[in-house]
Parts: sequence; structure tokens; C-alpha cells
Amino acid sequence: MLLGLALSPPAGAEHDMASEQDFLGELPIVLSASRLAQPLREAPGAVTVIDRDMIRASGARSIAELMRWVPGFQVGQRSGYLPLTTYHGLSDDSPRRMLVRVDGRSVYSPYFISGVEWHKLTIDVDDIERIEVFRGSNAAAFGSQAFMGVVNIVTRSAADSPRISLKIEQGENGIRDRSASLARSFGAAALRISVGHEHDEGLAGLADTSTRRRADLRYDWQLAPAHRLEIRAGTVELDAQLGMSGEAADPVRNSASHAGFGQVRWQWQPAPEEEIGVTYLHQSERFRDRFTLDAIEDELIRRAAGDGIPPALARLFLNLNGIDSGSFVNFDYGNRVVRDDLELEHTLLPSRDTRLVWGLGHRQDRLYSAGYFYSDGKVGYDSTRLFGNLEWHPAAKWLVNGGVMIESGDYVGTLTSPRLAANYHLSDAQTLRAAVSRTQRRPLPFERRVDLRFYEGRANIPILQAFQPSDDVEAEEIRTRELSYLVELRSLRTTLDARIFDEDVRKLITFRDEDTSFDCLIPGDCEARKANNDAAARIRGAEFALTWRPARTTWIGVNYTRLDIDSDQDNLAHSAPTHAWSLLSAWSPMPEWQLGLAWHHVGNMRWSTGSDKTVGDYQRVDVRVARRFDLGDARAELALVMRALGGSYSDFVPTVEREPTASLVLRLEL
Amino acid sequence: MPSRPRRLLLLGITLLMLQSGVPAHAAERVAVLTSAQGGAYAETVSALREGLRSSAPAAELTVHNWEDASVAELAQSDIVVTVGTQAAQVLSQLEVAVPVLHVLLPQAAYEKLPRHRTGDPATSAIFLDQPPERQITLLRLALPDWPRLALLSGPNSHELVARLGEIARDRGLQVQIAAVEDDRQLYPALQRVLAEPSVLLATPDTVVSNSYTVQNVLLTAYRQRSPVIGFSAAYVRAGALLGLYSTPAQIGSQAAQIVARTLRGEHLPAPAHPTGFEVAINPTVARSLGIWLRSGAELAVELRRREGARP
Repeated sequence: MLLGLALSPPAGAEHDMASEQDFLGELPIVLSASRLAQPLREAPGAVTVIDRDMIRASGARSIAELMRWVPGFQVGQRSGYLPLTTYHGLSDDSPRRMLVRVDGRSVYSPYFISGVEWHKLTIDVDDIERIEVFRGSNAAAFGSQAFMGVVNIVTRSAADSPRISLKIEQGENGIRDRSASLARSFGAAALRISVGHEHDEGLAGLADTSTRRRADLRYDWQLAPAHRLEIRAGTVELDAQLGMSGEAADPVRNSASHAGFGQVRWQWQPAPEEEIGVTYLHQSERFRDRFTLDAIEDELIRRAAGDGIPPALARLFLNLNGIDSGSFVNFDYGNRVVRDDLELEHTLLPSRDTRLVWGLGHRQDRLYSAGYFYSDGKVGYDSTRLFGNLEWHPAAKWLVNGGVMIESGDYVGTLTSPRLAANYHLSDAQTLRAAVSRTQRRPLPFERRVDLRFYEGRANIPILQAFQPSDDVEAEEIRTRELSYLVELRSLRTTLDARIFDEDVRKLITFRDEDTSFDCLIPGDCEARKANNDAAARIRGAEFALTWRPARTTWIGVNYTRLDIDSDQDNLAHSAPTHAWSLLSAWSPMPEWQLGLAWHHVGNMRWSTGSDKTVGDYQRVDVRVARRFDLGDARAELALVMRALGGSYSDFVPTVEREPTASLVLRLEL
Repeated sequence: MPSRPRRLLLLGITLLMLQSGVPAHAAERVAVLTSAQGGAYAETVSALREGLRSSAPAAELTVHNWEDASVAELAQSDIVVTVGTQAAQVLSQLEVAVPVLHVLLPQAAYEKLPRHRTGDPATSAIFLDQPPERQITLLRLALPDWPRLALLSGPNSHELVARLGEIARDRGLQVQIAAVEDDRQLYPALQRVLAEPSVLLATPDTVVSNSYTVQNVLLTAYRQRSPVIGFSAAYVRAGALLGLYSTPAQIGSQAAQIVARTLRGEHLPAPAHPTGFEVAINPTVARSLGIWLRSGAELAVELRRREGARP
């Protein structure tokens, strides 16, 4: 009798029964080339890594605050919801020479003055797996907007998250944050959803109360052992106050912004160390800020009085030109942006000693802003890029990295940004590194096409032009030379990263008042800000980071940055502090407790806002005390976070002070 | 295809012949029952065949898929070898009065097979699982600077994990064990057991190490800068730093030796772990974690030497 007919395998045992498939079956490639972090000693430049434990210990409510922990960065708060972050200075109130990426998606708004819009991130600090900061120009790998530095944020996967996690933060200054995240696995797919609501009253003396609502989704689907599909989507809404009380042309008002994105990536691993990825991104943003200034006549008279013109004379002049008490001006700073980006990236090992990453991408931005682009209304900004980086081990202790980015697009045609780095491993623990690079940054639509004008609303009488377009503004250029020394003493759990650099920035785009052909109302006052490439700067200095980390949640780190900026423009020369120190520490005195302390001393500097407002040197101390509770399978943590414990200080302009704030944070994980 | 009455007749005659004490055939017959065609099963069988050709040239090997074999033929063989869990389960439900060797199955599967009554001929096995001593020796050999070991035990592997922990402690390692009953407990268990960077030794338990949960284990371990030692070449490709496993060919050769000895009249040995093994490494993961390793082949050679030296 045939066994097949006589017997059947024991019923119901397939899932529980161990079988040889556990040993012999195929498994998906989890730690693929793109998921693995490059070891520090092989990176072509200096990298600072901020991991989850450090993020937790910092007590940071927002990601921008974490940049304080990175040598070479300057962090200021323009208003409650507008942090400013820049690397090596040169920044005004809208830093745009740095790139921030989340899971490979660049969070960079191409239209408005402010490049990185931190408040438009859809993720929470707790959603982050790690942050890799490349200190220095890295266009060869990331594109021309990575002019001076790149912040690469990698989010947590669902497979490495608790099923449910909740966070509540309540504190002074109206701090009221709530967030929740869910992670689920469905066989070969995993989903992580995170939602949040944040509110606070901003900085003292400013009308900058804000409420932010965000939702973020991450879906990873292992289609087959060598194919993975990743879907990311998110949305964020910010309702924020703007303006200054008492300023008629900038009254206290509400603005609303909304951003949303969807990204799909397909990854294929045809061979063990080879990976091909195709990513498509669609992003759309909207900003609404509209108000009417009714008393335009009074406002203009007031301004004339400031120039020494008697009010009666001013009123007469205005009336003759059609402006009277019934006149008004409509302000509309709103805009809408749509971005589409398609990219192919290929990682492979052409030979035993080499590794190549290359890619191709096309980006299309469509900007609509009747206010900012008066003559155009709608602006298109397209670029196509080809990039590649080759790692080569010519001999046992040597590693050479050569990379280039070739980008062709609007305004200035084709830009090339090459980089060459050599790493020499003196020993297992020590590495010397030298790098040279040249990066060109394409002008933004704002820098090139901005045309911001004000007309009287009833009769369309031109009043003035604030910004005018600049058809001949060219790409900025930065040439960097650097030397660094990295020591990783494993047995002592100590790392030292020392770097000296020389950055030559040419054709820096700055704005200055220039004559305009606009038919201004007030003769002799007909100038509008226009972008030009006349500024230059030479930045030299050093960055040190020394860390001792004997356990995962215990460390002491000291960072020091020295910056000397030479520039014919005073504002730029003072745009970074000469000295900046940070001491970062965390300690678990008892198993359930954790203490965190961060002390920063930042020298005086100026954010070039067009006026000579130097912010004096300041100290900032942040302390965090946390207690963990294990409740069966659930874990909870209650933390007290005290920011600016040392007292009020200013980090943007002297008139805006940041006061000490304390808050309580409760986290629950199931 | 024979009709039902004819098959019953065949069965009847065979049983009569067996009962009458007349041996059905004088030559050495080896029956092999496989769980499926191709792949690892075919590799095992061809290694078995190769091995027998030299050590027992007179043996006749007949191979059947478990559905196509007949009880009659099995009863007439001198030894039956099953390849895979399915074939083992099926055979163990029959009353076949010949020695049986189960190969290519996990220890957990072997232990779940119905136990034979006393008086029946012996049953033995070659498991796929590596002996715990070998796993710990590899760990100390490849990662001598790592003093901590993390282990996850699932519903089917409590004893195995306890044994691993015992051996590890004897060799001076600090051991952390977390029990996982279902995959919802995996995340908190991993957080507990990997509180400090440790080496995670993956245990072949369907709850802890299936093709879905392997993502959880590898991603979490990587984030904690903790290397994983896996139990298959696929696990190493997926992201384990090291893998210790036996190939179907090695198991087939070992089975051939046992079969040859049994045909010569020796008793079946006790169920055992495989003697032959391979070590694989993942150089990309090693590089990313900053761990320097010798090649898989060198580690295997050294590991064999240490096993030979150990009493």
C-alpha cells in the first residue's frame, strides 16, 4: 500500500513543528548595503552619529535642538517654531547651505528663503533610529544643496519598535506635546504609524504660539528574499502666530502651513553586496499668510517722519498720489510647492578591492506664489543629477574615496562637484584622513526670481518693491581642504575625532539694496534687495570631539569648535563664534535611573539679518533626570527635563531671550 | 496503478513471508524516504550514495518520496533512512521492524516523534542542530573580546537554551536569557537581553527565528551594536555576523558511515549532532560593526582542531 494514500502528516503541526526549513530555507537580506552604517574609520569625511540613547538623554523636543551636540554647528531660535541651524556660520535668518534628509528624502524647501524647514518634518524625535551628520561639504553623494553639511536621519523600522508607544510632555511655557506610535508585523510586511500633537507658547516677547499636528507612516514589505518595497508617507500642519505687536506692516496674525509627502522605494539585492534601488517621491506644501493693512496712509506717514519729513507734507504728497485714509494694502506671503523626484541608486562591488555607489535622478519643483514671484506667479525648478562614489583599497592600510556629482538644471546649467579623500589606517585604532572637494550650489528660485512688491489695493498704485529678481546670480562655490585624525580605542571605550579645515567660499549669494526699475511711490527711495555673488569668505578652524562611553547609557563627551572667518563683509566675518564648547554626559547611578547633563558655551556671533545685532556669548545647561519602570511586558519612563537651567540667554538676536523651561515627560511602551 | 484488492494481496503475501521467517532478500538493502524532491534532500541522498559506494559497495539504495514508497519495500530493507521531518513523522507512525536513521531534521522535531515500544529495532538520528559546546567554542574563538552572551528561548527551546547558558557560564561568559512565548514578546525580550552590546546566539525555534522575526532580531541587534551568530548560511546572508551549520552533503556522508556500520551488524549509535560543519562570515556586517574576523574557512579549521583536542 502506498504510504501517500494510507497516511497523512500529523494534522495542525505545520506552524508549531520545527522543521528543516528553519535551517535550510531562504531568509530575506535584512542588513543590506543601504541599511548598514559605514564605519567611521572608512568615511571620507568627519561624521558625528547621534543614536537613540543620546536622543533620549538629551531631552530634545525637536530634532534641530540636537544639532547643538555636533561640533561646528550653530543653532539659534528665530521664534518658537523656527529653529535655525547652520554649519560654519555664513547664515542669515534662513540657513540654506545645508541639507537635511529623512530616509533618503531631502527635507528642503526650494522656494522660500529658508532652506531647511524643520517644522515641516513629519517625524518625532522618538521615531529616529540614528542621525548621521556629515560635517563638511558632501555634494558628491547628496547633491548641490549639501553645500556645507548633511544631516541624514534614519527612522526606526517597525521590526525594531514596540507595538504601542505613547509620550506625553507637559511643561512651562505652555508646553503640551502628545504623541503615539503603533508598530505591527503582518507576515512579510511591517507597518509603523506615528502621530503627534505639539503646542507651546514660543519665546518670551514674541507672538509665536504654535500648534503642530503630524502623522507619519512607514510600511516595509519584503516581497521576496531579495526584493523589498518601502512606502513612506506623512503629513504635518502647523498653525502658528506671526508678527510683532505694534508693527503695522507685520502685525500679529495667524498663519497656516501644511506639508505632505508620499515616497515609494523598491530595493533589489541581486547579489550579496549589490543593491539597486528606485525611489519616487511626491511632496506638496502650502503656506497661508494673508492680511490687510488698512491704515497704509498712516504707516507711510510714520515712515516718512522717521526720514525727517513732516507729517503734513507727507500726507499732502500721498493724497496727491492717490493714497488716502481709505487706502489699504493686501499682503499675501502664501505659496504652494509641489515636488516630484525620481532616483535610481546602484551599489556594487566591481572588484574585490572596490565598492561603487552611483545613481541618477531627476527632480521637478513647481512653485506658486503670487506674492513672492510677482512677475512669474509660477516658477519651475528642474534638475537632473548623476552621481557616483568609488571606494578603493589600493593597499592594506589605505582607502581612497573618489566621488562626483554632475547636476544640470535651471538658471546655471551644469554644475560639477568632485571630492577626493584618502584614509590611512595607522593601526586598528587610528586613522588619518585627508580630503579635498569642490561644491557648487545652484541658486534657488528665491535668489534668482524673487519679485516681492506692494501695491495699494483699491487703485493698484505701486508703493514699493522689497525684493527684485536677479537674472545673473550664479552658483556659489566652496573649496574645502581638510585633515583629520580618528582614534577608536575599543578596550577603553574612547573615541577621539579631531579635524582641521580650510574652506574657501566664493561667489556667496547675499542680498543688498540696489536700484530698481519699479515705479516706487516715494521718489529717492526706490531700491529693492537683490541677490548678488559679490561676497566671499574663508573659513578656517578645527573641531574636536572626545567621548568616553563605557556603557550604552553612560558617557562623557567634550566637543570644541574653533572658527575663524575672513570676509570683506562684516556680517559674514562674525557669523560664527570663534570658540564653542560642549560637555555632554549621561550616567545611570542605579539601574532604574538615568541622569543627563549637557553644558554648552557658545561665543558671540551674528546671524546676518541685515543689521548689526551681535548676540553675546552665552552658556546653556540642560539637565534630565529619568526613572524607568518595568511593568511586566510594558516599560514606562518618567523624566524631568530642565532646559537653560543656567538662566535666560539669547542665541539669535539680543532682543529675543530664551528662558529656562522645565517639563515632565512620560513615556509608555507596550 | 494497482487496484486496491491487488495491493492488499501483495501486502498479505509479504506479511506471510515475513511471518514465516524467510528473509525476503539476502542482499543489503537501504531504503531512503525523502520529504520532498530536489534541493537539500537530493544533495543529502547523493552524498549518502557516494559514501556508501566506498564503504558498503554491496548495498542497494532505493530512494522514494514519502508518498510513493510502499510499506512492503520498507519492511524488506535492512535499514531505512528518512530525510527531512515529514518523512520521519510518517515513518514513525508505521510499525516497520527494521533499524531507522532519521537525518536532516531538527532535534526538536526528532524529540516530538512518537516513541517506539521496547523490543522494536533501534531508531537513531543525525540532527541539524550543532552541539552547544561547538557553538560556544566558536564564539570564544571568533569573538574573544566579547564577554556577554544573549539568548532568546522560545516555547520549543527552553532546555537547549538553558544548556547553552550553562556551558557559556562554565567558559567564563556573562549570560542573559529571555523567554519568548509568542512573537509579540520578541521586542521587549530583545531590549532586556541586549541592554549592553552582547553576542546574540540565534536559536532554531520557530517562534524566535522564522523568516519574519529574523528581521526583528537582526535589526535590533545591529542597532545595539551586537553581532548575531546564526545557524544557517541564509542567516549569515541576511545579516548575521557568523554562521555555524552543516551542509546536506556533510550530513549525507555521516549517514553513509552509520549505514555502512549497521549493515556490517553493529548497533545503531545514539542520536547525535552532525560531525561535519562549516563556518560562514558576513564581511559587510563585520566591517560596519568594526569587528575583525578570520575567514569562515580558517575559523572552521581552528574549530575542528579544538574539537579534536577536547576530550
